[in-house]
Amino acid sequence: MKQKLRKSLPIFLASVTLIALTACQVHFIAPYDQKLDTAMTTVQGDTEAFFIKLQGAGQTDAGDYDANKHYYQQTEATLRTLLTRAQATPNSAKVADEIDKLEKNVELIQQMHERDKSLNAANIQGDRDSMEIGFRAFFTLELGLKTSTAGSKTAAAGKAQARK
Amino acid sequence: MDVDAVIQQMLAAAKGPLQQYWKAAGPAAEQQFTNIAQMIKQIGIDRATQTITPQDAQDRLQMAKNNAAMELDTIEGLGELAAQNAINAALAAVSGIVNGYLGFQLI
Repeated sequence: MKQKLRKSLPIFLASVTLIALTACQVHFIAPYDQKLDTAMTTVQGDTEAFFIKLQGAGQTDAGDYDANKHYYQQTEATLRTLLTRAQATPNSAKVADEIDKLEKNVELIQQMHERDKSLNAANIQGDRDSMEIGFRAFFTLELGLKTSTAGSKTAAAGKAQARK
Repeated sequence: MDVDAVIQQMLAAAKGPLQQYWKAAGPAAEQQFTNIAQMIKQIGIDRATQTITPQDAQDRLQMAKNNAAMELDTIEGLGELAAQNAINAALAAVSGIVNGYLGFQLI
């Protein structure tokens, strides 16, 4: 055990020194992105409004795919833009993957809607619940990043103040 | 279909691959498997009344799988964030001592 510790201690110390020399702070995951958060909040609002409209339309023409395809086009374009932004941000793979999955879910609903011409009430509620699960997962991570980023800024400000 | 039995079978199968993350990921995984099992039960009811096609059933199952993956992404992301914050806090805690000892700002 002692021998094992003796072997791993230099590696640990070297890692800590490397971290200290290279950046002072480690970054395993990208910081909070206000633009992503705001844009995704808009997408969620549009999605909720879309499902409420579909639930109100029932089996009338207003619920048909053709009358609603602009929602899919607009939402997929927005999600694709957000995905590109996340993919271009270092250490943002988890956030990018979540946006990708949200976009895929919108595409799946679109395919079903187009194929079946209209969605029945039970399926609309199921799809709405499903999208909410995805949005909740995304915003839970964003909230964690937001809290952490705010904490880091406070700590950095305190450190700068202490140096003066 | 016995939903509870299906959930338990899925949990038992997932515990192996998720073993080291089970404490953090277990409750979310259980919630997702519950959603999937209930969805499969509803698909059975909808098929009996001819209100869902097999293709739509597959697409809805794929949506549930995507949601489960998103939940795991969130758990992993929060884990990375916690590790990052712990290391940064540790370095920040000793920065004064280390920098004073060295005579220059290392940390």
